[in-house]
Amino acid sequence: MRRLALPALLLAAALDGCAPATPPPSCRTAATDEGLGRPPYLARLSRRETSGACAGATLPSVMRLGVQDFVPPGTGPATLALRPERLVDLVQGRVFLADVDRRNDCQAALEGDPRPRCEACSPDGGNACVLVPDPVPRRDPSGLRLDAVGPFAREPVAGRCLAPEPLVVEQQLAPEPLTLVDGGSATLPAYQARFAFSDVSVITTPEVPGTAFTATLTHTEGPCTVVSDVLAFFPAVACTVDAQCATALDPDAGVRRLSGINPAFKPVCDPAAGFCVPTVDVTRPGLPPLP
Amino acid sequence: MVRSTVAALALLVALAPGVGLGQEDAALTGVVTDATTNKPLSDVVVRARGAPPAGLQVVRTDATGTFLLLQLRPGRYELSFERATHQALPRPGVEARAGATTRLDVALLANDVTAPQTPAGSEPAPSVDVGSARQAVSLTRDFLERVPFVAPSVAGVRTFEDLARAAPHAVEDRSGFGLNGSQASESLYVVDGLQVNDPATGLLRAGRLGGALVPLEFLEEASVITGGLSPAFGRGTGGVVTAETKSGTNVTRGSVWGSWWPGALTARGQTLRREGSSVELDARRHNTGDFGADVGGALVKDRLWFYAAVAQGVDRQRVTRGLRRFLLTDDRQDFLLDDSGSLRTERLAEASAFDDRRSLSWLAKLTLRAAPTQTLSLSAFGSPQERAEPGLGPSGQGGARSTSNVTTTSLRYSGSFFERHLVVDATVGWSRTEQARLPSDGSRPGATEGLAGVPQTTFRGDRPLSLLEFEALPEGLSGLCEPAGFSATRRVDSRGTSRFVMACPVTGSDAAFSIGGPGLLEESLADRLQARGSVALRFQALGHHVARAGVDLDWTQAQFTRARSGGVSLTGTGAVGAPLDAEADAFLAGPGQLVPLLVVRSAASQLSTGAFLQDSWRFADAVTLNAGLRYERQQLFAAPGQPSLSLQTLSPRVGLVYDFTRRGRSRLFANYAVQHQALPLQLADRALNGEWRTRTRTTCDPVADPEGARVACADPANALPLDADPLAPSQAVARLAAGPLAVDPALQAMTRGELSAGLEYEVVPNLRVGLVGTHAWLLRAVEDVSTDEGATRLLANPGAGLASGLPPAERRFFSGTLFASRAFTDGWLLQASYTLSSLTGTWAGFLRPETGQLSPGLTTAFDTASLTVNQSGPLPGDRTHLVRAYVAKDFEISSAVSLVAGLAYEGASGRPLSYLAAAPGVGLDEVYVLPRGAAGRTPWIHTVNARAGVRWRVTPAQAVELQLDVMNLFNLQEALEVSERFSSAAVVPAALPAGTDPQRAACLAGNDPTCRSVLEKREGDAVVPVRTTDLNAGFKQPTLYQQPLSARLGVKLTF
Repeated sequence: MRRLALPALLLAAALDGCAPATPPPSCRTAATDEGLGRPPYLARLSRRETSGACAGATLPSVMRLGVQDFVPPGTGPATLALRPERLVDLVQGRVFLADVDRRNDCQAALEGDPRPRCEACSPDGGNACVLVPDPVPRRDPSGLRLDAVGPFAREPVAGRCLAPEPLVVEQQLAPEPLTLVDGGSATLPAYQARFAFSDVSVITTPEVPGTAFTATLTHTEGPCTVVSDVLAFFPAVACTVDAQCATALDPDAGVRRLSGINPAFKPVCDPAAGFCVPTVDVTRPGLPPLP
Repeated sequence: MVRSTVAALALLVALAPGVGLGQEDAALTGVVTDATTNKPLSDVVVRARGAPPAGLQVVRTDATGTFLLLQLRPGRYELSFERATHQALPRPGVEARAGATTRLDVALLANDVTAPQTPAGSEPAPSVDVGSARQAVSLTRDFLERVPFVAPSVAGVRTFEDLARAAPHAVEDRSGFGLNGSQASESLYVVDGLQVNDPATGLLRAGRLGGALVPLEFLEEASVITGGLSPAFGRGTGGVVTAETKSGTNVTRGSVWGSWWPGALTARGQTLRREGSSVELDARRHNTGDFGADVGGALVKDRLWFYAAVAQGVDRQRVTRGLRRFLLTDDRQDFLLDDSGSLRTERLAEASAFDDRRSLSWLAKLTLRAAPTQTLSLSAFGSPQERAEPGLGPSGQGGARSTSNVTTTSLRYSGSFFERHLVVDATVGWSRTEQARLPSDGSRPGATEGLAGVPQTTFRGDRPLSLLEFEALPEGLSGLCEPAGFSATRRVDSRGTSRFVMACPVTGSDAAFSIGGPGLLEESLADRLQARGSVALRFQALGHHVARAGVDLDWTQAQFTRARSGGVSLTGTGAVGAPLDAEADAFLAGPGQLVPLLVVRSAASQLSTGAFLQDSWRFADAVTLNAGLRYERQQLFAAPGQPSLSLQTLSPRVGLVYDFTRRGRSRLFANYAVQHQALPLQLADRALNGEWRTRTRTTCDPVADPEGARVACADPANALPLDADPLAPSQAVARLAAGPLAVDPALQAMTRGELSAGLEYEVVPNLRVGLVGTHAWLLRAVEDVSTDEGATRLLANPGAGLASGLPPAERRFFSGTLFASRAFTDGWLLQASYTLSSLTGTWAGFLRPETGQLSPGLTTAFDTASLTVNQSGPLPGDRTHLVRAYVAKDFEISSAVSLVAGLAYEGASGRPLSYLAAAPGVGLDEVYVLPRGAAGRTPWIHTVNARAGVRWRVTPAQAVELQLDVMNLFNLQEALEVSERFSSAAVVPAALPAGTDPQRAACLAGNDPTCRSVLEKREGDAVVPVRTTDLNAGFKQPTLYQQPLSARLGVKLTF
């Protein structure tokens, strides 16, 4: 019987740990990679506190965020970058368009704004929807530091990947003179904006592989400071109807293109926000439906 | 329990058994009866003597008159039946078939009975395998030496990998021969009990060379098993090609052989009609040949045998790179056509070089009968090969040298205990696979000097560039081509095709033009340890049982080194001097901070363990039930410290066999099996280790400044912003891959189910005919998928777990085969089969035939949900009709001279064609515009090879044979592959309502000018109708023809 002992030993060794195993998820996000057409995240902001002189709402309740994770090969430290749309709009002058030339409402159509205001234009002469040069100097965003960058965890803890330090980005814009389309002149005001994302917690589970995160945003623009809770998810898909948020192809219903949203999010179109939003609570395991 | 069985079976004495080694052992069984009373006789001494190293095995019949000889080496045996009360009966010439159990019933005459005139037992022994439901094609030495169905495929040598083509349903694709609807990488290739697949890809071929190149001359016999596999075989969802090498006998025998396949005896083949480029690359056989020698004999008679063999092969192809111009009308508005409607061309210049492939295969083997019941065999094998790719074209680009070497050492043991009640087989083997593709000047991957530091630039795109942009023509001819910077205009030519009219284009439509260095460089080293052992136990309980159990282990460790020459791969789609797309192995350390990885080094390993149990229960004299279970587990490890992936399968294997003649001449069988596929190491490396690749746009100009390009093209400072969404933190770098793939926790192994049933009958002695039906289906596939259109990727089973939103990977195979097989007896042999089959589904396998992408588990098939539209249909491996006919006959001219004639015919109906278009961000030929297979089929392919040989027996022991092989006897030049590229644009897959004729909807049927096509394509974010200019003029044009008629001469001297 000794002759059978060796095969039995090998068998036992081989069967050690019978249960199948897969590697656990590591900290990653979906990245806004241009050239590949990957969209930004959509952040829903719920205002918590304001301080300073805030005239009206400075930030809409939804804002797009460019996100990119940087996880090098090996065991070196990882980095996370967030680029808020508001900052890009400030730097590119988009924020001031309505102020600069109120008579030229059609300017918005040229910016690719999903809600063009051309219906205000009159069809005969005047401000018809025609191409006019943009009076606002468009700064090349690639030359400027527009990202809130900070360290990022490599391994998730209890399904969350944390950024241990706040991610901060700040820009100072000097006043700038402009020549307008109608020949007049104006001055872009000086501006100071600061975005600080703290308590960034990226949900990293097999169901939600880094495509949603929560954070606290402290946003300062001029004298106004707003602290908001951020719930961001990927991707930001602009919509007017539910079919644009589809996660399954349905040629008979006219759905020929997928939105790219995780089907488990069960997205629908929110007409007020103008974007597809999930109808499940992405922060809870099992993704229960929102009340 | 064992002891009581011994008593019940009386004494089973083993003297000097002829022991086989391993899974392909033969078995003989039968019932001995009294010729007069027809009652079974017990205690008959049955002796089986085979040629050395098979020795003598002696068993006795039991109470039911049944004898069972196990663990026989395949070959011819002389049986004798003796009993004190009866006349002894000799039965010579009983063939024991590899892997089969054949039955021979005999009747003994009592001592007092007179023998009849015609001695009983003169007809040949039956040859049907009554012990299992195994379906296999047996290729004995007689078959391999006579039938010309294998041509030298890799480096001048005919190797055992091509034996798979003899199976009734064997379909060839770029990776080899796939059996029964599976692909070549799913088959197991076993030589002397060791698996010789390349551990990185699962194929036999390692890289561009041949892997373990075992020449046919080294083989004793081989089998291609296509169905009904026993539980001893795991790890593959295809068939098994298994071969045993020669071992040496008591008499010293050897042979010397050589062959010559000259280019002079090769007809001119059809040239491919490439109308997009002025550059013509043509490869023709210059000379192919091999020679070798082997010798085998006994070092100590009846105890120690040796066998040694060596073979060298050379394959020299002449590669000619010609420059030509298309002739235009005087106004340069259109092309001139010849009588057949092709564009007229004129050759301007040419250069040629040799593409050489060399191989050496060697084998050394020792077989020792250590004790009467114990046999050991030690063997070593190696096959170094190399290929020198010529560097033709500007700057000597492309010059690379590929090398490959597989070395194996193995030890096999076979023995029996407890008076042959317990039979043990064990094999341990170690193999090392090395392969490399390096620049021909010896520079190392990652170097900045030499060819390894020169980036490769490929120009392609819609608008053609002139030849003169890149190279100069001989004196006086420059005026015939457009100058550099010329911009052609698009016109509809006289044939109605829309194209750019230009005399010397080198890009445009399908054509691409490369300059610079050799491109992708790689090196890999894999070490593999295999060990397997099995035991078989005989006992009786309501019939005869042979219970088998076994374990096997396969540990492989591999190291990979990869680099791109110059650090980047450049692609230009616009004019020369415009920015180029640069793809590199690199990662981002922060926004816009690119860190290049000049050399990527990674390691991966895997441990596969398997165990099986099987009981072979024979009852009611003619019914055998084989019930078995196999447990298979694979653990994939990435670099040390990385967590592993572990997958396991429990596979039942059940077969039922009924011999309705009760004499071993028939079988009615049915079999059900589940197979598990081990994932190749390339998947572990790329998915678990991860890849880091980026793309940038760079302003370097390798055409104007090749020297400066080395530094400029890889310099991140030269990167331009990409078309920017201003919210992207990295405006100038796009990441194509960044890190390991996530893995679905519910991931399960790749498995396949198979159900087969059939009937086989020996009509006349040695001629078996049969009918087999098989249904095989893929249960689960492992693929990289994305549920959010590519933003996040994971390794999952499509259609299950986290990938439930994607359609499942399906592959359904049905076939019915009619076959006839006659082993070589009385001077002739025959093997013929006809198969009617259907292979449909959504996933072809590890190789994606439409694009040629061989990435096990990582093909683009399920990369995004939008790529899966129209994916279902007949798969590229579908051949409705497959015919095989192999015939050989020996003609005795005189006592010393004989003629050998052999004929091989293989016929296959056409493969299905699809309408393919590009997928943005993925590549060309990835999207099915209409349902898969909607574009028709290629025509039938017939392959006819013939062999004629003269054998002259100089002395009884020495012979000389001259052979002439004619391949493609009728010089049939049918297209093996045609272009399926319907458009290079990003056409949206047409989702047609059920019942619509796709050809009609896309306006592809007939020439109705009023037809409005439903086809649309993506242009940026918009979807616009497809125009005729988007259609590829080369669609359905042949891209590969059959090899033309050629003759191969061979000579062989045996002593």
